[in-house]
Amino acid sequence: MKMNLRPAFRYQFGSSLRSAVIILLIILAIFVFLAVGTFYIAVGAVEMRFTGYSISFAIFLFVMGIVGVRSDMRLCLQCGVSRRTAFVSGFLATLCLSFVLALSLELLTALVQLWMRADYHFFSADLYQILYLSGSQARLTAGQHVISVLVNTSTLFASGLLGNFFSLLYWRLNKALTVLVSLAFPVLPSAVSWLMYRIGVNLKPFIDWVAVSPFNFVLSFMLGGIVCAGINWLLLRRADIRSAAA
Amino acid sequence: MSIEIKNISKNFGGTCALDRVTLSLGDNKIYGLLGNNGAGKSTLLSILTNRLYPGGGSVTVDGQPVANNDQALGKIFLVSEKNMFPDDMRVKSALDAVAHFYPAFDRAYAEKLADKFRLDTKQKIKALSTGYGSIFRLILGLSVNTPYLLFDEPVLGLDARHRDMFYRTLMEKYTEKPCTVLISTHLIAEAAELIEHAVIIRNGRILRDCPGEELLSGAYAVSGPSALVDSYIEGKRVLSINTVGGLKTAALQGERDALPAGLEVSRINLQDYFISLMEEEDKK
Repeated sequence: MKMNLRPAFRYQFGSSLRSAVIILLIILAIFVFLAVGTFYIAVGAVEMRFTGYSISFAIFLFVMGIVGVRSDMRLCLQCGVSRRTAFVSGFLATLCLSFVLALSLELLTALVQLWMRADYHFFSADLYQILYLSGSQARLTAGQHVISVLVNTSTLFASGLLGNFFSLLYWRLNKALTVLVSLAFPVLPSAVSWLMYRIGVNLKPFIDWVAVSPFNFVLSFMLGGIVCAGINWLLLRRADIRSAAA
Repeated sequence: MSIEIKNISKNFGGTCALDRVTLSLGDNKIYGLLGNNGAGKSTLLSILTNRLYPGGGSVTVDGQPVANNDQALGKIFLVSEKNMFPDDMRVKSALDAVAHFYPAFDRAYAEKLADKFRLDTKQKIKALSTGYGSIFRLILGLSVNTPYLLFDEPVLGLDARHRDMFYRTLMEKYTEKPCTVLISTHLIAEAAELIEHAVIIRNGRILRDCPGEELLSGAYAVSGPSALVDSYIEGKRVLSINTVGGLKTAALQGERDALPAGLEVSRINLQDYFISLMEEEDKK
C-alpha cells in the first residue's frame, strides 16, 4: 500500500527543526561568549575550552524522541495518516534532523577553528576530535570534518530512537509493569554484566573495535539505532492511540 | 462507496466493548450512532480510524482495509471527543497542519467558521475551554471535505446557541457538499432531526440498524387511565411504561389495534423510542 509520507515528514521534521534551531542558537551564543571572552578578557591568562557540545544535541534528540513520538502519532492518525507511515516518516525525520544538526555543528566548529589563532587560548573540540584525535589537534582537515559529521549524525540518530523506545515502552505498560520496569532499570546494567560474565560473553573486543576507527563507531551507532527502531515498531504496531488526556 | 464493518470485536481486559459488530455506512447519508455511556460508540469510531485495533473482524473503506492504509484513512475524518493535537499548538498552527495533510481542506471556510463561532485562532489549544475545544474540532471536521465525516459527541460542552449553530452549519454543509456523516451522541432529541439512519448500540452489540422512519413506523405511545391502558397493552410488545398518578403511558411496538374510548395515541420520537428500547433491554 502506498504511503503518504510527504505531509507527515514535513510536519515531523519541521516541528523538530524549529526546536533544534533554539538549541543551535544557544550553542552559537556560548561559542561567541567564550570566544569574545577569551579574546578580550582572558587573553594570555586562561585557556578556555568548549568541548563535546554534540552531547547537548544528543540529549535534546533523546528528549524530543520521548515527547515527540506520542504527539506525532496522535496528530498523524487524526489527520488520516496510518501509524506505519507516521513511524517511517518519524524515523526519516530523526535521521535528517540528526544530519542537519551534525552538519550545522560542524560548520560552526570549522568557522570557530578557522577564526581562532593559537594565541587566543580558546580550544573547541567535538566528539570525534575527543575520541579519535586525543583532543590535541586544534584544527581539523576537511576530511576529518566529514568524519566528525558522520560520528555526530550516528550519535544523534541513535539518541533520538532510544528516546522513542523509552516513550513507546512506557506507553504500552500498565501501572504495575511501569513500576516493575522502572525498578529494573537501575539493576539492569549489573544484571546484564553478570549474565554476560556467566555465559562467557566479553564486550572488550567490541569496545576495542569501536575505538579503532570512527567508521566502526558510526556503524555500531547506526545499527544500534536501526535495531532500536525495529523494537519501536513492534511496540507501536498494535498500540492504542488515544488522546493525551484519555 | 461505503464503510463496511464486519464482525468487529474488541475486549479491554475482561470487558467486552464490541461483540461481533457488523455495519455498513453507505454513500451520502447522515447516520446516528446512539447508545448509552459505555455502549461502545467511541471504541467503534476509534477502530474505524485505526486508532485501536479490533480483536477480530475487518473494516474496509471503499473496499480497502483501514489498517495501515493511508488511502483509506485519508477518506475519513473523526471529530473526536478529546483533543489529538499537541496541547501547546495554537489553533492557527493546527489549521495549517490539517491543510498539509488534507488537500481538500478549505482553509478560508475554516477561518470563516472560526469568526462565526468567535474562536480565537491565536490561542493555544490547551487554553481553550471545553466548549471552544469542541468548536475547534468541529470547525476542522466541517472544513476538511472528506467523503466520510465522523463526529463523536460533537456538542460536548457547547451552549444551546452554539449547538444550534453547529447543527445548522452541518446541514448547510451537507446540502452543499453531500458526504457520509455519522454522529455519535447522547443528545438524541437534538440530533434526531438530522438523522436519516439510526444505529442503536448497547453493551457492544447493535440492537437496531435501520432508517429513522422505519424504526419509528411501528412504534407508538398510548396514554390514559391505568386500567384502560393495562387492558389495551395485554399481549402487545411493550417497550416501556410510565405512570404518573392514575395516568399511564405505554410505548408499544407493532400493529396498532382500534383504540378504546378514553385512550389517546401519539407518535413517539427517536429519543422516546431509544429510552423505551433501553428500558426493555434492562428488563431482559
